[in-house]
Amino acid sequence: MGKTKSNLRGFIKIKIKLFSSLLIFLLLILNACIIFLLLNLNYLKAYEIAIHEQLLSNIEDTHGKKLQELSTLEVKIEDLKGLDQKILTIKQQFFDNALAYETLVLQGKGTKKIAYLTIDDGPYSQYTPSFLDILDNYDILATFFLIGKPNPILEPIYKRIADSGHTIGNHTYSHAIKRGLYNSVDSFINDVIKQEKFLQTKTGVTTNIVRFPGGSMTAKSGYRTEILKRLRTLNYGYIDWNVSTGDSGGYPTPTSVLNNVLNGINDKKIAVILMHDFSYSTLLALPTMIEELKRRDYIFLPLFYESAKIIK
Amino acid sequence: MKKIIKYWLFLVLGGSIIYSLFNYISYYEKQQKLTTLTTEVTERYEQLNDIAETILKLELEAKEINKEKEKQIEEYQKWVRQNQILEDLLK
Ligand SMILES: [Zn+2]
Repeated sequence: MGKTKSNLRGFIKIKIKLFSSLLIFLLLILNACIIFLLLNLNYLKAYEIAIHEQLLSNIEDTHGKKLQELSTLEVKIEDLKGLDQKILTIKQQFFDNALAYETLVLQGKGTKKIAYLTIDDGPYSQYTPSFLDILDNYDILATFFLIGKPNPILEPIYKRIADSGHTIGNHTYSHAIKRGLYNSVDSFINDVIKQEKFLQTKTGVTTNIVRFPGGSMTAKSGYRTEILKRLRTLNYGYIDWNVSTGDSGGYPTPTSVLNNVLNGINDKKIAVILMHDFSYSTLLALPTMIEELKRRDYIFLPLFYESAKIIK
Repeated sequence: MKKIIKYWLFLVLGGSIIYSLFNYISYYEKQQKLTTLTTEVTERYEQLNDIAETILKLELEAKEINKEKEKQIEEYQKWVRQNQILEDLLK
């Protein structure tokens, strides 16, 4: 009996040993599977991480480019929004340079001479747009001495002259040489002030250069000095001309207009050329006139208050 | 002899468990990193989308302003050209 028990114990011991060995073995296999799985998962994760890192780096690149694009756009918009100021600045720079160059020319230096094209008595619906087209085609700025014409048809023309950058001068509202303009100092000055206000509403420009209708000598000598004094107090300067197209009287032809200018210019360092935009002959002569003057080494400038040619 | 084998088996089992633990930790860390990366990618994508949207908006705005200021742009360029003539003469 004792032997059977001892045999049974021995048998159980062997079984337990065998079972534990088997268990350890099984655990080892299980663990090996887990390790295999984990190694695979680790590999997959590393791969995913690499993909994500690559993705992130791509995004960073695109991000950088987009930010660059954004800042360029912002600068562009800022520039566009600041265009008004930029125009003012470049205009100021232009007129500063114009004054510097005019001074140089007056000192006998400078490779080119200056022509101020001055166009009086407009606007006219018939020809003024064509005058403007020609000036635009040649990329030239001129000076328009305008009078007061409340006709609504002319409103866009007043505006176009101003928007094109041409200088706008005051040629009085009425231009009524023979109908009382020069009757008294007040009649003339009031007409100038009326035109200043009129042009302000039509073009937004406040004039400071006046051209006497018929020229400054048309004002009677008795009034002339007083008129000039009053113009000074109003901060106006005035200008006549030293070359005329001769297009305001008689029977001008394109040839006569051209000859008058080319003969009158006579190699002047600074030419102030008088013409009228009611003249079809001048309109026809204008392109040749510009080309001839260019050939004779003239550049074209719009008049400006600080110019030595403006009498103050 | 058997004991020695068993002892070794235990040792190997212990070692392999440690190794699997080590692998699990590594896996866990990678998973964490991946989660962070995924969040970052999503965030960056969103940011990128926001920028792209802003760019689109600004492009439209620029286009509109451009159209609005077409005349002024021309005017500005005209003054630049005119000024350049004088600048060249003054050199
Ligand atoms: Zn006149």
